[in-house]
Amino acid sequence: MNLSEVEIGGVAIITKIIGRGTFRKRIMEMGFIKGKSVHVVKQAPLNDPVEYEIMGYHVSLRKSEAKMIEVVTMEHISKAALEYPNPNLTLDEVIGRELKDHGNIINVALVGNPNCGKTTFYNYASGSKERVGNYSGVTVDAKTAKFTFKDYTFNITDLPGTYSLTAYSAEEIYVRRFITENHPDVVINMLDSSNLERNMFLTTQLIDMDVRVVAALNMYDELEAKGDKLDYISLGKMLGIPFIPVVSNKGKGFGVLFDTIIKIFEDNSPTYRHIHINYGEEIEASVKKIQDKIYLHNDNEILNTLPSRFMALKLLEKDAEIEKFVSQNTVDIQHEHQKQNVTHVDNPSCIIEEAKEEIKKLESIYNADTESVITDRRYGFIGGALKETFKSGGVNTRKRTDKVDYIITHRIWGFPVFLAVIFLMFEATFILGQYPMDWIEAFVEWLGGFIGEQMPEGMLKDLIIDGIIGGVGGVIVFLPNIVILFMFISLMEDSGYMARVAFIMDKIMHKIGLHGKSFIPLIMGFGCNVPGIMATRTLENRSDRLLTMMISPYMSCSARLPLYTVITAAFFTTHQALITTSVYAFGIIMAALTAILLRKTAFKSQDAPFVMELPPYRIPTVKSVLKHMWEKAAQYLKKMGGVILIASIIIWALGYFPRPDKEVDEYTRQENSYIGRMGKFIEPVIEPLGFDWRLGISIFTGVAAKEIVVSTMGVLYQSEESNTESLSEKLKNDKNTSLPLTPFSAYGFMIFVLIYFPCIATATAMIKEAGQKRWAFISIAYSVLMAWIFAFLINMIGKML
Amino acid sequence: MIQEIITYIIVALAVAFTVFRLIKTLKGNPPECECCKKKRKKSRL
Repeated sequence: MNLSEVEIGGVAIITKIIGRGTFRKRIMEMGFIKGKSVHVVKQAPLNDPVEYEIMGYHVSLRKSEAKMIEVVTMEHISKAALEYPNPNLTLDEVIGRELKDHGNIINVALVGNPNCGKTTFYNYASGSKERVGNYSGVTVDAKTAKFTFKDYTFNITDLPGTYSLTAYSAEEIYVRRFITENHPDVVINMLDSSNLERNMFLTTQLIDMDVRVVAALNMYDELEAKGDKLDYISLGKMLGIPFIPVVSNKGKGFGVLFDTIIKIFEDNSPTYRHIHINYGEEIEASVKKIQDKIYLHNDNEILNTLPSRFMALKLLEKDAEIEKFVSQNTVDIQHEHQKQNVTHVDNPSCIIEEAKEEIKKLESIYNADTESVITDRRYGFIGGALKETFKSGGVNTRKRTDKVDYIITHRIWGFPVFLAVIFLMFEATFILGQYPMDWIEAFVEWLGGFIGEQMPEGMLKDLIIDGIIGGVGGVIVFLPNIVILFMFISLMEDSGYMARVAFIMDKIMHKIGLHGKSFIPLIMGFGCNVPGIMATRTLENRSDRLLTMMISPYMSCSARLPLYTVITAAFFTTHQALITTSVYAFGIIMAALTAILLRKTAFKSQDAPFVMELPPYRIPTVKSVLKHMWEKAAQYLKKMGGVILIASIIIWALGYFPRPDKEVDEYTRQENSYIGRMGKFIEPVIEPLGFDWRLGISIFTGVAAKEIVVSTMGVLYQSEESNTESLSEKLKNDKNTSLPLTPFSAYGFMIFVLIYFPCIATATAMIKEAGQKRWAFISIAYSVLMAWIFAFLINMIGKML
Repeated sequence: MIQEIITYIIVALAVAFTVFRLIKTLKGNPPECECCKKKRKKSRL
């Protein structure tokens, strides 16, 4: 709780002073420091300010100021004393323990440029498993985790990456608001050591914001490997910020970093001090004039939120958000002053007017807009600081990166390289995956046979062998393929290749009315469409967001891979990788065509300008790749034991009942079961596509999750003669139906499953993110219609040939 | 007979679970997307 919440007459012990700069200094000089007791004496007639007694003298604080002091009441301490297991503790000892519990909580915010390794750091420090990748915009909202280090509890918040704290993009506003509204005790400014100059631009703004910062020099090993030298101790002294080298993916330097955070938190860091960046005589004079106006409206509410210097600078940079903030708050001040019968001579908007005048003056002096001038000064400051502390070793990894990029992002070679990588990925997925797949398949067959021998004939035996082993076993064999696919996705993401893919797609994306930034959510969709849809949050423009969301389900997620493996193994044995690549390519083309259609009809607005960042190539660590593979394998197995198992049981039951009165063959029995009747009911709709009722039911159940398409087929394609055949073989040798699959209708089936209804999880995510059900329903209706049309056309072509 | 009873119980549980997940989904919590489930572990510091 904070001091403003303590009742009159109450006594409390101070646990923490929130806030920054002058206010913090002043309040601490008044004696409001950790561990001191405060007595709430009385309130002024209008409830504000409140009189407190501390260290034997009386002082009055406004409620807004008292809110910045965290306390624990004596009442709470007395209650806690009774609950301690050791009754012999003295009151001082109890207070000491309570202070440790309440005062040793450090709220830390993690800020930095996109793709500088914030989430890797966050995951390592907190043991979380948030998504990371060597490209920008992976983190889309704030994530908080709690952990303890030494005697302190850290609440660490990972924020989206941002280059600056100017109100240009949604992320920048979000991060700035988080810092001003949540008052983190310490901000970790994560810096990419190999790109200090640009990364430190954000640091200069944090200095102006007067927050307590510690800079983490991430990927410091890369800087050293290049032979560069950085005197980070001197740099820290110059900027008044401790600079700590860390290697996030290996956990190096974390101990020193968190020790430094504790020192800053406890106000005993020898390095930390607030400095003023010198913006030059004219700008400094203008800042001073605007600050004077802000002080005239001396309202602590504003100044507790943002320092006057930061506000003045941002007003000179024409920051619309700050203008709004200042004008809204100054109106409130005048109102308040009038209530107290104090005559206020200034116009409420005088601060903004003063800033506008100063902007005019500065622009006439510099013959350039103030925003550029201030940006130049910031870079000048960084350049000066680095000139004294940084020595280049001459090895330029960027040059190496540029050499690789010459081919990989080449305007002609870029696409064949991309297609070759995708082809190689599937080739490896199938060839390498075949061995463990055969082992699992042999195990599943053995298990079925073993249970068959051991159990007496009956309903439960049928459920276990045909339902559970047939359904779950049919899908679990694809575990190696999924894991290998994720190994490649992880390699592509961590190495920086995914960012290149986004870059080479940028031109195409522009042609279809989107930009490369939209491609990142689409790439994520290859793993799972749900995080892909959530990643559209990085897009500023709502129409871009909705459009990306609408085309995202056409990116073939990993849940669809088992079906492609079954079908290609049955009908395209020699060209498995090529056919699978073509299905993925079909999805991308479908997404592009849909985007063009929607851009010309529903979403006519223009796209926002965006600079695509190309991070340097990095060699992915074995640990990170293995972690990705393990997580995916665990997820897949969990799904097998959950939704796939449940679906297999229900589908088996629907296919098992009602029991026939007389002996019939297996296919006829299934045809007359509940599921068979349902299948027959929908068969006329799917017959033109070359699919029989069993495929119809598989499509239907796949709505819950796309893996269920294969598990359903596993249950429905049971034959009396051969229970040892794999699903692919059963599909190939299926003689029961009047409508057997041909290579064309099988390809059409893959395309149908690729395009039609995204799974329930994706549809729900779409409704949530779009904020309207309408778009999800339009997407579903459109995709089902398109799936039908394409499968029909493919089947027709097959018939004609 | 015992086999039948166990089978009916298993099927009934599967149906109940499906209904439960369906209600949860309709209320706005997407099911089984493991990618979004946050797993917290002890800090490695």
